[in-house]
Amino acid sequence: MLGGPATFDASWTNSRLEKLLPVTFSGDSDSGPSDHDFHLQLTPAAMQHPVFRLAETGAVQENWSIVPPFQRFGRVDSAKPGAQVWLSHPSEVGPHGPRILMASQPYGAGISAVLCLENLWRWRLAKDSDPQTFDRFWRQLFRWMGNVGRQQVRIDITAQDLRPGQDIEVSLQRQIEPQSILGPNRRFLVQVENSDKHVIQSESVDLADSQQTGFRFHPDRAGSYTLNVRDSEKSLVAARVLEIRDTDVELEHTARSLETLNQWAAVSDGLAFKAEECPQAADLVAQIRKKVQQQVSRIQDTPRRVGLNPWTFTLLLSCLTTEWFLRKRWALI
Amino acid sequence: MMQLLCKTRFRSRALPKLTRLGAVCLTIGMAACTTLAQKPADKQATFFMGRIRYSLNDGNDCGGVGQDLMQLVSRASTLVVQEERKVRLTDPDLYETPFLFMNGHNDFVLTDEEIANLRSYFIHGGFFLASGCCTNPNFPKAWRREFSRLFPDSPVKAIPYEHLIYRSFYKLDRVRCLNEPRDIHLEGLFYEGRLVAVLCEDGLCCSFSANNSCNESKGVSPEDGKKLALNIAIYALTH
Repeated sequence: MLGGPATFDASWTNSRLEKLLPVTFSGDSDSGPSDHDFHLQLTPAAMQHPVFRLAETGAVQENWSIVPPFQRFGRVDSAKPGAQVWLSHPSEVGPHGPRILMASQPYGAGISAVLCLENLWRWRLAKDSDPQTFDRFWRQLFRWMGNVGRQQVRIDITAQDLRPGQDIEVSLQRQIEPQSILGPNRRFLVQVENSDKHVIQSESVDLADSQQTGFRFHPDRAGSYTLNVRDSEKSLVAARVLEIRDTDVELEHTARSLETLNQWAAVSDGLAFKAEECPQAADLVAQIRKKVQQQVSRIQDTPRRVGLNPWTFTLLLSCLTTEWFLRKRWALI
Repeated sequence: MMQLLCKTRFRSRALPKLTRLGAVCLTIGMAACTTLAQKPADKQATFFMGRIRYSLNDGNDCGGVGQDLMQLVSRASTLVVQEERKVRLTDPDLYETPFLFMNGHNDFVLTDEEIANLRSYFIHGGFFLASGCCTNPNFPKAWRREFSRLFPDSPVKAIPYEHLIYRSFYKLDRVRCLNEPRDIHLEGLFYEGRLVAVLCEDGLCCSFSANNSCNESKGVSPEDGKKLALNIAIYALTH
């Protein structure tokens, strides 16, 4: 997603788009333009990454110093767990540190990225800039983003429901590619890192061509976990980030659809609470029991209306029959 | 009485001074307000158009044509559009203006410096739209000649109807000439396969800006002219 303040506005908050992007949108996107020009600030991760190498020679920071200044940017709040921030604002600070200008995260089998800069054409059009560096950056970025989905070892998660405290089954499959740089060695190292970048599990696995191999790990708590697959040279050949949550998906952000939940509760004689405001389970059970008892006693106490039972119906039918016989006897019919 | 006269004289002298001072302050204030009013608009704009001043032409042919083009773009999109700025091909502002517009009636010649600057502008990704006013043949003839100097291997040539520029916003299968039995073709200059400059010799600016009042029953119809101009602007924005 590319753009400035008009693109990164608060209307995207809690949207499906926000779910797949590496950042959360800011509620104060209307805070107006920055009055001063700013240069892009590369994070240490960007300095090491080949996408941000704009020339064959020279330091990365030096290459980027020729990029002209910008005036406006789209405000985002924070990077999500597992997201990587590449560019930030040199002086403006948001609620969670320097304002993010570029970030990415793995999503599904691919990668999603944001670049929150307005009027990016300034970079290429500036008189002193080299159009080749601009083109090179975009080529490298798209090549990298496109290649993420084509890792040399495919990592699939078999379970749909990822919860803390349960074993997570992972399937690893070595991809056969003519240009694969993988050697004949079939031994790979699978490492699982938690949100704090600590390796919680490390295991050596044997991956034969195109055959699926299982791997299992046990996340103790909720958070983001990264599976890294390294070859015998310890080079990273595949990675995947998993988000383990401790809440049920349907209970997330219930405040947003509480109106609907209340309606359902009313129809089904149930109770609706915000997940965040839900009382203790024992209290909840007591409330439900009380409600059921109230309903039962209400049913018991409800007086039955005369005429709406079989006896009344039989009496009515007998009267009509008697009347018919009498009329016949007295020749009134 | 003398005191009163003195006071009166003082007042009578002071008043014009104060008035002048007030007028100066007012002028400065208004100028500052105008600048301040323009500055945020400029900063928030995402579409910048420069009107070219070239040779003896001060960029005023068909006066409001630039503004009308801006209005067309702003009506068709949510873009914040900056008011046109007048630029010479040798101005540094050229590199802050990704879309240039040029029109005129007469022959012109670009200097070597202008040609060099324009070549650099195109290499950096700028876009150029030119329109011959009132179907006067002198301007397009000069434009073809001068722009063919930019990239000697790539002279100005007609843009076929298969090109995306005819359907970047409105789908235009063909554009008929009002006064001759022929289709109107845009002409373009290409750099490394990329369309960088477009010319319409058939009074495009007169059609979308002045409803052909200055070019009645000639060239492009006003309806086609608006579509064509918007297509060109959208193409420039998206490429």
